[in-house]
Amino acid sequence: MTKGVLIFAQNNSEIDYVKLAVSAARRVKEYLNVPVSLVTDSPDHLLNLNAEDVFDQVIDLWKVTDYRNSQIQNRSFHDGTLKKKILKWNNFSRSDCYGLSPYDETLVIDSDYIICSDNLKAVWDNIYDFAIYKNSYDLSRWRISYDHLNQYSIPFYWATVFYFKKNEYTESFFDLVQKIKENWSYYRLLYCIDAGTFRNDYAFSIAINIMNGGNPNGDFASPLPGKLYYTVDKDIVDSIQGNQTRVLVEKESFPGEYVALKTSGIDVHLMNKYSLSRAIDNYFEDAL
Amino acid sequence: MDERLEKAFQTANFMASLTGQRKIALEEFQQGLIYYQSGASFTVTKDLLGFVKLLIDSGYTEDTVLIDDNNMPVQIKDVQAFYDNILDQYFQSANQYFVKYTNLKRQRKVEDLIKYD
Repeated sequence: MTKGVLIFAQNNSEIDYVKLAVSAARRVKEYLNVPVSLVTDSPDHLLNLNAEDVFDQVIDLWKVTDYRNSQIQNRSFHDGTLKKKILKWNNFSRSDCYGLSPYDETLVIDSDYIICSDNLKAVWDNIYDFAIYKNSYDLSRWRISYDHLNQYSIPFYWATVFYFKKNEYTESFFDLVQKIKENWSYYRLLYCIDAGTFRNDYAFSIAINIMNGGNPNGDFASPLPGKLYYTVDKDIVDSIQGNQTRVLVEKESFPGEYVALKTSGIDVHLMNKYSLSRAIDNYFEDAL
Repeated sequence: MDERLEKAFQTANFMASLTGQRKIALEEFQQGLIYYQSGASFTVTKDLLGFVKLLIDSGYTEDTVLIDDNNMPVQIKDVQAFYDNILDQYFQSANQYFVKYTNLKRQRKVEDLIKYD
């Protein structure tokens, strides 16, 4: 059985997802020691980053999908509490990962998921077909956590990191995600989701609920090891060093003020892409 | 700003960081307590340690079934080796937590709380 990690990177006018993916892939190799493939709409950009050799395979979305006709949506990207921009957000390819992955066992991670431990090594060669995070921990500790899509709805799962084995069950699951994506305006209303933008987290949560026959305690999705630790884009990534990250987390009721925190040896989802990008630049500058 | 007020704000910032850092240290400890074997995951609690020791003391040292964190039954071939591993993992994580916690207690400035090791 082949195994590897798949990372998606679709750049927009300001955020260099490919650069984030290169950094994430280097961390995967360091801590998990498996090959990494990149799915991107900007394969040529790897040359600019001198990072052609980082990836096992580079999958060009223009060549393997009908990318020209794919949907694009806008959303706001924060850089801390006080700065935000509306930018293009290309997140519609995630449901294609079953067909795109070159591996029998695949771990998909977001490019802003910072691996700092070998915790995810435990996913390989197990009996599960599909595993994903349900339990999470917001480093701010005061924001409302994502337990359910909303207070009346189904359990929330994070599409930030998930594992799947290629078989008929997981193929059906991704077909379902595809259908939910195509009929998003219907499913959004059905599951009382306020946000208008399509989010893979929501689509995955709905698909898992359907695969479980509507049982919130169903067994289709197994839990990934531990919890998903995260900061949102209103927090700021100060720096990354080895397996440690330093972040400024927004204070409750004091916009523009932050609490300084450090993590050590735990994987963290750092959603502020602007500051993460700066931290990655500084990390590599320091390393040189 | 009044000097004493400024100092009070500095202390408040420090306390916010200290509280957050203590919670993170606890999370790191708990994450370190998860032991994986044969596709199963076990959180190394005092209960698990006590139960596995009881199994060994009662003569169940081979091919014993344990139930993991996800209620999955797993056959443990060598229970003594399993016990040694989880005990080792517990002490490693507990010692790291102790070092982090003691270090946090000593600090008086935010910069020192978040200094890289």
